[in-house]
Amino acid sequence: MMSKLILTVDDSASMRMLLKVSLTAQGYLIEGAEDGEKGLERMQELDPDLLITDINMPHMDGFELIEAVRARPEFRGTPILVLSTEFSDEKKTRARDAGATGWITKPFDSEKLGAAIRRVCP
Amino acid sequence: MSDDKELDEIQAIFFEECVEGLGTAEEGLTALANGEASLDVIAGVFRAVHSIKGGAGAFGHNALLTFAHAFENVLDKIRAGDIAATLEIGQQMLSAFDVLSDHVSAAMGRGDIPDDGPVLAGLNALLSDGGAPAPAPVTEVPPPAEEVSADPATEADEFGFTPVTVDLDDFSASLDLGEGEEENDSPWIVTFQPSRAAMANGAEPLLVIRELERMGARVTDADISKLPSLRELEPEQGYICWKMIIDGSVERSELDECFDFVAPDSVIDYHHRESEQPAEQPEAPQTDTPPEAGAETPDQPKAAASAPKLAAVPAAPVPPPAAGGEAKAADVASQTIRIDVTRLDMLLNLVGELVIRNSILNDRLGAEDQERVELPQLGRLTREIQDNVMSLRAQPIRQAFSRVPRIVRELCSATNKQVNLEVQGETTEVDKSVIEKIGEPLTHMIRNAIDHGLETPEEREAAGKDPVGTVSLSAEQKGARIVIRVSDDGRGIDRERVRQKAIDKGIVSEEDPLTDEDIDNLICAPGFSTAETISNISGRGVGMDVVRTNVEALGGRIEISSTPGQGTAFTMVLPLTLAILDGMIVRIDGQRYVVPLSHVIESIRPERGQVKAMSPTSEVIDLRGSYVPVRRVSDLFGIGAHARRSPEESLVIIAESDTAGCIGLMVDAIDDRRELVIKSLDQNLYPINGLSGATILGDGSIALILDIDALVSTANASGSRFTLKGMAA
Repeated sequence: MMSKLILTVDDSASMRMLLKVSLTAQGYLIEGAEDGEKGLERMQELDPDLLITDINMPHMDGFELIEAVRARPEFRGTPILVLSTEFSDEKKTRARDAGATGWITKPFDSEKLGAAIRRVCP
Repeated sequence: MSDDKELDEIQAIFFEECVEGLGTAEEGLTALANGEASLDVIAGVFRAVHSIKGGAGAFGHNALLTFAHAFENVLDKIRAGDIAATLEIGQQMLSAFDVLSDHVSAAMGRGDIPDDGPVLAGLNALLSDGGAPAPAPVTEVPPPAEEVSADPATEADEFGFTPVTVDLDDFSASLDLGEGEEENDSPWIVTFQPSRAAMANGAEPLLVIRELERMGARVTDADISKLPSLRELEPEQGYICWKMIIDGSVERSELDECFDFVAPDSVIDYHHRESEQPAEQPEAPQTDTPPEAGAETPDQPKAAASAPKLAAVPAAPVPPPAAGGEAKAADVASQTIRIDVTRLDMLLNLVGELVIRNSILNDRLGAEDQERVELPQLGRLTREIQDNVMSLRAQPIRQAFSRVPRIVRELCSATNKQVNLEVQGETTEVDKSVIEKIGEPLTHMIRNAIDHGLETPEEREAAGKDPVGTVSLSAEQKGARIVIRVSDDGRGIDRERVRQKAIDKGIVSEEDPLTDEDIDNLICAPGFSTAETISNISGRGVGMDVVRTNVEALGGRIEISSTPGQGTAFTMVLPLTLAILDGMIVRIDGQRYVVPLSHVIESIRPERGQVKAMSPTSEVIDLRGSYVPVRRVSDLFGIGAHARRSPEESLVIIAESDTAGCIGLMVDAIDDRRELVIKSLDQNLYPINGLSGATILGDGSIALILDIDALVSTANASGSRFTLKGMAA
């Protein structure tokens, strides 16, 4: 089976690397982008199987990125997970309204992250 | 996860991000404290602290996490307008920022975890008083106990608890979890009817069922009664209601997690087989809060609680996305990559070699080859590569300046002085090597200015000055040098006291005729300190002479100018780069040496009688009426001298030292002038007085670079003892 490609968008390089290390070990291919704008570009370029995005980022934040991605017909069915240190219901609702599939709270646990991914990405 | 080394590397990157983030935060908070912060600035600070918090959690720096969390929450409220951005708040946040940086330092292994109790309490007080429209408990509901266990170290709550990973297995027996269901080992009966919008947002209920199966679930029933005819069926809607049975040992939290993403609007219920199914449970929109938190009346309280939450939403500052979500033009600032500095250094080294090989090629090829167009092109390209590599290493001096505001704040509170810090030219770019080295001298200069330069507010008022003193820090580029100036509007140097002290210390004698400038420079003399009592701020008087030694080791110099009653200025002049040097190649006894061009004033072929012998070993040159001591380089190094040339056969290069006046260097010939890549001498050769390094010339031979400052000091018989450099190195 071909490995799934995941795009991770986070303005922190260390967080992107942590995700890469953790998810590569679970057999995923990982690409990264450092803000929403870059993330959107990379989405179009890569057409990944899953988008994992942070919320607080410069230029274009996670909410905006999710909305922009969802606005494109080709990404209507692409699962999107938010990975954020925030956990308020308000933010989660907002993310869902924007089109997020799920929400994971940082810091993440590798196994749980893997399980969460399996629940949205076949 | 992967091996520790990889994690260490990632953590190192995280620390770099912390340092960057702290810089952004400090800048923003300073603006806030001055009443100049825009929403964007606050948002930038929030993001910076938020990232620090995220990484702190990931790498298990819990003290940092807790503090950053409280800090971030306050910022969030300032951002949302719930806490007024007053100057006082700005000040308080700045003080809290200092604690935050200490936390970061502690996480980096530099220093202990600070005692943040009072400051943290202050932040939490802000959270509870300031946020009237959206009190903390509403927007920041700590996750229920089970979620804490599910997500280790999820969040610190507002009371400053450090999150810990709790294994619920150990506690489930003693925790009061609703109706004691968790002790129930009978199988779970799970009902799951995906909502009508089940497949919106890229969700896939099937995968949830798969995950449940992975946990041991067996599907016992699929209610397809709501399934419409094929024609009416909308493929992205959920119609089927699944019933499953799962082993009772599975934790409720695991099921919560499993249904987390599909919860809204779906019908989800799970209960142990014997336990009574809570009334009304189906159709109730599930939230992330497990049902047992309020199992009896699940809906009303929740709806009530969510109303104020939603009311707070409009305050959030994030604007809706641009129409159509079109990608904006790529921002240039974001087009950066991070490169390990050692790689840049390696590149610079290689380019240096390339420059050298290029010169060698030029030297070896005959004149007709030189005319071919390719060679000059190659030369030009090589130089361009070199310039570009150098510019890669150039960084704004802001990095070195970033520590200063904090030092000033700390000194202000330690000395009870009031200081207004003015910073200019922080975008001036200098080579990385310089930035690395000036931090310490800069710190000393700032401390000196505040501790010794500025008066107390009372003294200032008595002298008719503004009680708030001003310390200015500026940087500007002048040619190939960068000029950094620290000035204060304090009392100026008390020259009589300095002179007396220097005499007492035996640094100068009573008879020495000293100009004002000489006296000012005495404060850089080793072992000199004017502070009547040794303060723990400026140290034990080792400060300024160390500063001078360090600065001179960088090929720079320090100038001091002072006006009694009006202030003192320390000016640090440094080369822009420590890697490349414009040099004059001279020949002495068949050997070639490099004189840094920045020191050269002129070169003279002396006329008969222009160089006069004062003694067998000392000569002076008459330079348009003034006398400059002349030294033969061969004498200085104790080499050659087999055939002492007469001055008329030699050249005299008049070189100016940064600190100790001029000297004439007698050399045999001047060969060339070119840009040279400085190679440092091997560590075990290092402090050779009079030499600062070496370079490789076009023909592959090695030339030593003369250290003019050291030569002048050593040679200058009348030179002040305290300018001896290299001795201390």
